Amino acid sequence: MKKNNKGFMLLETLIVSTVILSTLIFLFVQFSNIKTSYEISFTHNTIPGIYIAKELSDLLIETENNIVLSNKLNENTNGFVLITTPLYLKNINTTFYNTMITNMNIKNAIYTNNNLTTFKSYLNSDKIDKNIFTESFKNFIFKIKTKNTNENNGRLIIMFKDNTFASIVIGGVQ
Amino acid sequence: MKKGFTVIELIVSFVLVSAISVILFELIFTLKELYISGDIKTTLLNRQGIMTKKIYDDLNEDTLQEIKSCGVSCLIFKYQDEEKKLLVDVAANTLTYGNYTMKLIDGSYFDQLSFKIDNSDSILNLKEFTLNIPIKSRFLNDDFGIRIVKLYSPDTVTVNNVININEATIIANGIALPLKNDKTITGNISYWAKIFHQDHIGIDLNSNDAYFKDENEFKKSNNEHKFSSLKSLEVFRIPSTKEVQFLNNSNILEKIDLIAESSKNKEQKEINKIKEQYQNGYFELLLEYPNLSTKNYNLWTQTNNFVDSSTLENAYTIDIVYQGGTCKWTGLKKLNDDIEFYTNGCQGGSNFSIGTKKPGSAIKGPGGDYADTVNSVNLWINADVYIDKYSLSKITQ
Repeated sequence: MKKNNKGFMLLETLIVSTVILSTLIFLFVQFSNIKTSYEISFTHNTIPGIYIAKELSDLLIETENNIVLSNKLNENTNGFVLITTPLYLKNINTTFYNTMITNMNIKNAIYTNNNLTTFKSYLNSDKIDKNIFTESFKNFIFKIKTKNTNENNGRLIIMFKDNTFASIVIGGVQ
Repeated sequence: MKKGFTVIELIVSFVLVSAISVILFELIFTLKELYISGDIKTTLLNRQGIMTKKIYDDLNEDTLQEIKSCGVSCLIFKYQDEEKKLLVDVAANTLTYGNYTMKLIDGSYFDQLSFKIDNSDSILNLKEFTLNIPIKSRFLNDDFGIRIVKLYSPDTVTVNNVININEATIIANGIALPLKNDKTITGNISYWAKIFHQDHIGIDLNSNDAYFKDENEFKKSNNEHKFSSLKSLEVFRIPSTKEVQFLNNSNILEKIDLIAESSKNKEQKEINKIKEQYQNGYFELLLEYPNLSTKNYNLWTQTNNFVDSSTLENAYTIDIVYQGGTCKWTGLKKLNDDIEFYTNGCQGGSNFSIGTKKPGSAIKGPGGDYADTVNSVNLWINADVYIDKYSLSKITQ
């Protein structure tokens, strides 16, 4: 009696299906990552955010608070100064500054050195204040490129209430 | 020789094909959603970016001297060398700054506008203004509008967004609607925008100025004798979150709060009926015949957009002076008439028209104790909600 050789073995079918499924799952996961990155990119360095950051930057320069903050930075081991409130600022009316921050829709504003090394070390440490530095905020900070900019300048990093972010160099090339 | 598949082979095949199908469907839905939201988001962000850049570049590079009001949703930025007008036309869904006009894409709309000036910093002698023009989309949750925050010195820059009501207008589809304020019979001051006017004063009834040649002109016209922005009616629809008032069967003015669960002196069934009728909002309208009397008018609410609708819906009277002759007042609706083009709410008869179509036709008045024909008619619409939501200026009496 001849053996019937038509068709596939179950084992063959299983192997092929596993390979196809694995490929599809891999593609799907990669695609999800691309989608997430794409959505996140809409929130980084928005045009309105950058202009507002410039307004704040101009105010700091005009009141010479960029020098005050740079000096404060030298005392700090964390590599940043929180300027959401005018605690460390001079020559600025508190109510005026707080109203301005509210109108600008700022949730957190950070002054740091354009050389972000110390700051990034703090962000990677256990001492990080998670109320200020959420995952998305950290993610933004780590993506900031400082190449071709003067590392001696200050940098302003802002997180807005609508979960968008902006960052500019204070008084230097962006 | 065995033909066919075993059960286990079938089950395994079905399971594998199902798993693959589910994954592929997920992928397709995600791609589709991404394409739509990405496309809309990119367009909105581009427009936001362009407009924000234009305004900020002027504020930062030119010498700003003054900001003043030029209408309800209009500001003029006066620089050393030029003036630029910022205008929000909610009806046309456009935002104009200088010679650049941005039209909102389908599905997007303006939300609560605001322009505010904050107190000065006494140390620095600086003040701050905030201009907020939110733009929302029905498909996305974010705000894609314009938000300008600018510090300025009050010694060199004058910022004053106050405007007198006699100079204030609402720009709707490019037409400037004059405003007035008036106390309704309840004594509350309301803002009214003149959305329609027709008159035959000093003109020949057969001339082009005496009638509307077609429906487009009836909905939008900027002629001294035939003025209309009825195309913009929808932006004045009052949402059902407000109180509505009307005369009941005993001729007493009643108020119903469209949100509250119950109301005094009314049965729950009747309240629910009214709430259902008003669920999509309503218009509050005022019909005026200036040559009959400057103080009398018909004041009422209705829910249908009468410019397109030939069915009168849910018209409630508040104060009706002109009752009509053979043709009693009901409300406004479109009349499908080949001979004359007008909109009125009469049952049998042809009074209370607010637009003539045929050369030589007179404007039909109320009739009855008043004139059958009139030489002018105005239609005003309540603009309180519009002004609350879309005003960049402070209107003074």
